[in-house]
Amino acid sequence: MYRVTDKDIGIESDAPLVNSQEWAIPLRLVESVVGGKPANLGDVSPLLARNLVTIRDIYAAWIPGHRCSLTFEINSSVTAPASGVSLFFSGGVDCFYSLVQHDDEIDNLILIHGFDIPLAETKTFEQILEQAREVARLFKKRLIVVRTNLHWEESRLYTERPRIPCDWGMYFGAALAAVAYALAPNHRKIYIASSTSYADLHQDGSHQLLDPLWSTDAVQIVHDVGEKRIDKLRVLAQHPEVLPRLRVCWENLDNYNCGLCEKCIRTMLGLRALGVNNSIVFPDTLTPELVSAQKLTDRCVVYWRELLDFGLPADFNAAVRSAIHSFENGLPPSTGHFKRGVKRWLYAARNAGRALIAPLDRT
Amino acid sequence: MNLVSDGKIWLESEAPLANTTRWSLPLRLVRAVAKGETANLGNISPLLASNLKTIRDIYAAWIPGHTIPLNFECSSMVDSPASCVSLFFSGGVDSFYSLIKHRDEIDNLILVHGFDIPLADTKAFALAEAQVRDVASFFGKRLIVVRTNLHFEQPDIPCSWGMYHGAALAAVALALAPNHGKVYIASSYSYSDLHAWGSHPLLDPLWSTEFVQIVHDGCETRINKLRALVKSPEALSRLRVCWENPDNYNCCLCEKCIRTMLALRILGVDRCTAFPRTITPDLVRFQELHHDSVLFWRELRDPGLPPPLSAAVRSAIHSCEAGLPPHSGKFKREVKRWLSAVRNAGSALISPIDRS
Repeated sequence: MYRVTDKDIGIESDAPLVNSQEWAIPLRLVESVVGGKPANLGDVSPLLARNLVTIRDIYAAWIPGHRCSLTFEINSSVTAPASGVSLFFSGGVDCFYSLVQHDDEIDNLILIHGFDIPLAETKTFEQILEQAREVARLFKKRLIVVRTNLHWEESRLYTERPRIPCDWGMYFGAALAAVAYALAPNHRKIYIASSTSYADLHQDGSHQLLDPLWSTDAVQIVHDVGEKRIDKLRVLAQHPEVLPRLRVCWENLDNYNCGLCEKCIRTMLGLRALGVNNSIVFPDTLTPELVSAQKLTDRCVVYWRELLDFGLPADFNAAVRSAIHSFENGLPPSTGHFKRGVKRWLYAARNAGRALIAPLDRT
Repeated sequence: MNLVSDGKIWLESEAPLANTTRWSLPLRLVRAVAKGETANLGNISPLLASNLKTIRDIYAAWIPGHTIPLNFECSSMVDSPASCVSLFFSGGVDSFYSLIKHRDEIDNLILVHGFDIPLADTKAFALAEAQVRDVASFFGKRLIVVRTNLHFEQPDIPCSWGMYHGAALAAVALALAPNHGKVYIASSYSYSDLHAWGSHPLLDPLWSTEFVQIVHDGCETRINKLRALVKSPEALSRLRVCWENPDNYNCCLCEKCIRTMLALRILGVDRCTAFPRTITPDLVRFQELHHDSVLFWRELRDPGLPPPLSAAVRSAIHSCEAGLPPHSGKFKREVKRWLSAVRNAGSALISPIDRS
């Protein structure tokens, strides 16, 4: 087992790891932007050095944080990159799509324990690891498993708690870059599967603008922007070996896909619209009532709009429209329950009252 | 005068121009994406070739357009890039900020007639040119004036100008290749606001070739850019943000002028020769903001403004966010404001009814 550490944060893997401290630069940089303290980054690859100011400015705008001062030295002895190509792999739609698209090029799949799944959740991780091994075997790739405590604090005394300087949604791009650097002896290029298309540019820790800026002379980092989610599912539907191994759900760690959370439901709807039998990967839970009862957010409504008028049966299409309508009008979703219905009307009355007094200048 | 053309589109300048039709590749690519036709792009630079698919996918998502097939051949490299650095310069906050930021590096300022000012409007352009010439002379830069018919004189451009102008800037940068190895495009928006737009930090650098590096510069907030300009009185006095009033300098009445004057007040500049008139709370409150201008106004919610102006800024933002026409001080307009509110309230009230 190889291990690299930076203070009390560590990464370990069966695959060879770098023997320098360069891997932790992304984590140190983001921590400094959040804390407003000077970032002492040590030796930095010449390519990364050119982009550090831009990365800092993007994080400072997005977290939001501080345009902290940057201290670093440009590494004069650039090591030759390794020869492999890797893909971060979780088993979801995006990374399966990137795997299928770049099958000829990819050598390694990287599975991380300690990002979405806390280190203490060994049972869940074992289940995912088993499937990832199966995928790696099917696609003839090498599976690299990484364990890290950079997200969750390890403790036997209490439930693991996050140790990160900002929201994980904003931090995980830097965390992916850190793992990519740590694994530099295994690849010259690494794909991060994008969860959005170019039509959706919302701020995210892993982003089409940000990820490639983390590239060094040793490791090129590619944010693999693909098609819309529904079009990715269409591609995957043509690969019968992929669908039974799809894992989209991080809500209910005890089940492979719970079939009840928003992510499960939208994926089931997508497959249904494409005429694919859901039962091979999801439990039989999908009903129009469950669909219209979903509470959507800014992030996920984009995917739901793709499903609208896309070939779903009329009752499901109406339920998708209802969920989107509830979100757009600031209402709790429609569940069919009397008490929830009353709450919906009370919300509507509140919204109407606010609209009615809006012309008054309360400044 | 040198001239390059591609079909009915031409571009002319007294500065040397590239002697190939590669300059118009960005225009041809965007047109093909918009129309859904195969893009025949001929011989192109290997660097640009490696990014063409990404550019196509971005435009296909943003216009929105089609993921069309791309036909091209990679050219062999024979020339070496020119050594100078240019900046597209209009005299506004963004381009002035980039000029000051890269003052030591920039050699040329590029002013284009035919982008924002139609070719026929020679009077307005003469004024703009005189002002930019003054800036170029003050900062010791060479001014390159370009005339082109690629915007107003075309029967139709393939998409909105907001989405097309990035490709148009890239085309001008490529046409002027003998004059520079690097061109700065000053950003309008900060990293906090990455909405789809023709000139974008994600898109602009992808148009780079081995001969011309294209840099999208200055994704700082507008107020921080003005903070830098305030330290340079010679820049501040020559600032021109508005073309509403061709006979005069900044009109001091339009939304762009008002928000710039407010930002200057926050930064402690009460009087400035570029903005000769005084700003009043009513003038601020009456501004009708749009979704792309309200972002700049949110930066103005600052304790540095006198309370009446601060309240007026909040009022203008509130009107935009509540979907109401702004205050105007006129009875009929106020009635319209209340009618809009009643309509919005009615829509909210019936919103729980599932009309799916």
